[in-house]
Amino acid sequence: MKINVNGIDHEVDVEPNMPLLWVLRDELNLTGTKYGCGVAACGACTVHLDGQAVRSCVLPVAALQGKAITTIESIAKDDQLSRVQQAWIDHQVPQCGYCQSGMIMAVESLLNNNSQPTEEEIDASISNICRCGTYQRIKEAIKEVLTQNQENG
Amino acid sequence: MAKERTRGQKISRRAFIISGAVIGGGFALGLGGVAFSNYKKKQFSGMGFEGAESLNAFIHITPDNKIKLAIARAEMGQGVHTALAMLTAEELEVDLEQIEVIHPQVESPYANVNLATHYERTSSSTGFHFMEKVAYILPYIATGGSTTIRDGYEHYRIMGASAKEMLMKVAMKKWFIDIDKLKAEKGFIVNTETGEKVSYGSLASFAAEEKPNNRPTLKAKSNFKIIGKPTQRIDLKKKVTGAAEFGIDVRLPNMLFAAVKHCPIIGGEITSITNEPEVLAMRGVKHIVQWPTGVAVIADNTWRAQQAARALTFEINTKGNEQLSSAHISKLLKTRLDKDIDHVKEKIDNTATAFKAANKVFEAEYEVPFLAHATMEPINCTVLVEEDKARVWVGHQAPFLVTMATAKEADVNSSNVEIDIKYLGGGFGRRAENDFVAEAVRIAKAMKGTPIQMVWSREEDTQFDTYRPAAMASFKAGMNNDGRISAWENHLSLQSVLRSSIGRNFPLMTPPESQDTTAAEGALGLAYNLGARKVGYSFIESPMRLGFWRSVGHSYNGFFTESFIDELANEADTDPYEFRAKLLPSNSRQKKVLDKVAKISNWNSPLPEGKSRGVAFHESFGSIVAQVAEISINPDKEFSVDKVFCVIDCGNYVNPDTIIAQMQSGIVFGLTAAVYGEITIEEGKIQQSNFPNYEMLKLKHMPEVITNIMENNEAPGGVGEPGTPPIAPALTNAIFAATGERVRSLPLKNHGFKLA
Ligand code: FES
Ligand code: FES
Repeated sequence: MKINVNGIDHEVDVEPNMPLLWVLRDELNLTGTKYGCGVAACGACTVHLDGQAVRSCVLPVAALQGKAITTIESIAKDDQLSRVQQAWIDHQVPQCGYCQSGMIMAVESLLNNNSQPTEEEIDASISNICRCGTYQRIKEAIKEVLTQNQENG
Repeated sequence: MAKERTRGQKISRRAFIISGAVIGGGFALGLGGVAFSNYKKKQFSGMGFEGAESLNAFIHITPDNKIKLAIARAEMGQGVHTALAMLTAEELEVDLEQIEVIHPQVESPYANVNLATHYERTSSSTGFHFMEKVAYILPYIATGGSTTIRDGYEHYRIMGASAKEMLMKVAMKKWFIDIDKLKAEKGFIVNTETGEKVSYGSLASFAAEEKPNNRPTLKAKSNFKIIGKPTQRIDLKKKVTGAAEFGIDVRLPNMLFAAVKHCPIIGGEITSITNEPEVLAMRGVKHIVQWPTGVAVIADNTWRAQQAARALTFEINTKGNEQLSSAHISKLLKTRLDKDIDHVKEKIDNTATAFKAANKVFEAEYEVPFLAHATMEPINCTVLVEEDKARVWVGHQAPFLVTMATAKEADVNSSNVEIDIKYLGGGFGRRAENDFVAEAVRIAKAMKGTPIQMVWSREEDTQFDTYRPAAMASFKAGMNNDGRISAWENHLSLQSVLRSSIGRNFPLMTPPESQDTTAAEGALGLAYNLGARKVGYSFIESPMRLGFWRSVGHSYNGFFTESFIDELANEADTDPYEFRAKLLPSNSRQKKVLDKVAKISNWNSPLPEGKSRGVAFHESFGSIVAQVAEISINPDKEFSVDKVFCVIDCGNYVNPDTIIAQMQSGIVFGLTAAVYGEITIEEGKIQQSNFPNYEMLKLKHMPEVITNIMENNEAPGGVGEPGTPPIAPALTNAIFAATGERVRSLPLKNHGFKLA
């Protein structure tokens, strides 16, 4: 089976119903995408499928033919952090950090689709779990990116 | 009859008693530890510090002027790598960017030091509530009890200062000048007469020959450039790019993956697998390993292993636990609660006499359920067992237990166990247990020579946890007409965490029932003036596996005591803040913290219709925290927590930004438990399995937390746990203020309350 991850085509020999999460982690050794629940309940496994945030733990790899998968590993370009990643550092968001790949992927996708989401839209779309409770700083970091978006028109 | 102790009496501890401090607390340092660290090369292998000169066991300098700093404390989100690096950088005079943190092997210098703890707490004490806990097993390496800074605050500074002195001595000889003509700056020794400078890296090999000074002069607080200033964490770039390596991310050549299925009945055993051939025939499956409480399937991919483990069918021996239920345990707790206190741990004057003299006696009972840790990263451990040695890659809070468990299970000498501690995707006490390490070694031993990563599914993680115990408390207070409390009795009924956890991890050291230092922590030595007192606990037995859960005994005692105090305020017809303030010694640190939270929350200002406030105050792990929860609630019991005002007095502190983060974190942890948290048992099985039925607070529920840190010059206190205990009572007290409904058992969802 062929899948395209971060712009690279990979041939993987797996069952069609294997969730993308495990193809990424165990077949391609892309471990930035995390396992948290396996049932689409926590968001730790969030990646982009053609730019949209999806929970890879319930996404059978067979459904991905011809689609572009993006993982946390390719969000920074040439060591240049994305604005979301930079805001995460500026606001000292991560604690243990385990949920943050998924958080960042969810937020990147939200902001790509909507450069000025309302607080309600943010609350509704970022349903990832952070057991360390970094939510307040996530909100502050998103706010900073929104301000930058506004300034950049 | 239980041994009683009165306030003011000295508590002495036998050395080598492993107590709640194992994970729950304790503080340690002292010259013993410092001297140990400086007997360099004899007590530590230097493994992991190759290519660098060791100035002591902690500080290793490379020729290109990088500092490899040994930190044998788990980075599980609480920012300890950064904080300990800050302490070192301050005295060593280097930039934080120069420091690379390395987790050393399980070796003596990195232990919490074997210093017996004595403390005295008198009724007039305005001091610090030191944890009544000690742990001194060398090499006793563990992270818990919010002790890292309390343990390391001076130790890491001494190591830095001592290393700097050694470098300076070499520079003195090099330039033939007095030490006062030299200055250490950003990793260089500068000759202030000539302006010449030389890097630490180029001096290190000579400095390593200098005699270390165990009592170097430390900087005065007023000269700190790093300590006490908000500082960016050193681990975050990795954590925003997916590059941070957690235990579950370890990838090795030829590695296989294992999934585990445990016996579904609590305390039960698996007697046989009834479909082994079918499971072995599944794609990718290599091997099946069985032991009494579980079975592992080894496969070439985690998902395949999980699928195969789920397909396993067993015959089991329920060990008579097939009828175990939450109702049954509740009944045991209540029956025990209704009898006399088994272990009285605090007694002041005669409560019976005081109750007789009181104008009014008020009583109440409270209950909390079992809780799971639910670390975001499910339990996992990677092991390679070879003929006479073993290697372990794991995120763990107690590496010394990892070594012990590995040596035992792999049947190798502990000196042939190499450990590699990774970032922890949350710990909260769960990763202080060695059960999962032992399982991973057992699995890997079945395929010697092949590294195997064992990952528990979220379901196994939830159902085979070491739980925070369910607990009940009864309170009785005598009150005078002036609103003063003249008598206070508090009886706790629960199963012993300490005996359960140490019984598993370190059976020989299991303390007697009377020496459980966690059961009543947060119920003893309350700073309030309560008149005559009698406080203690009684234990029940059950097959539940218990463990240390962020803030341990404080997690329930904070809720119990601060709910009851609030009830008494209501009985006395007094404002809940005023009532507490009157009970605290004037000018005490406690009173200052409480007053401060009233001030920043505008306690006396009116709130609009549908909003209310609740206050709670609790000391734990050497810190004092007060919180005010401001909530909105409607008649359908739908509520939101809008703001939490939080004041902490943790004495001298290192990274204030981390403290603010830990207060937010502790509050979310406590709120999650207060609103949703509940592990229940039916027919011998845990009913919850994954986040859909063991719910977590989410972004949309997050209150705005406003934290204030008190400034003083007291000894450092903990910050990882103290934020958790006060939030549940602050919330339920706010609910009472709004609705008149007193919530005496958690979680709130069982009383019809819904987080909007
Ligand atoms: S692991 Fe996919 S949502 Fe939790
Ligand atoms: S940072 Fe630890 S789970 Fe979010």
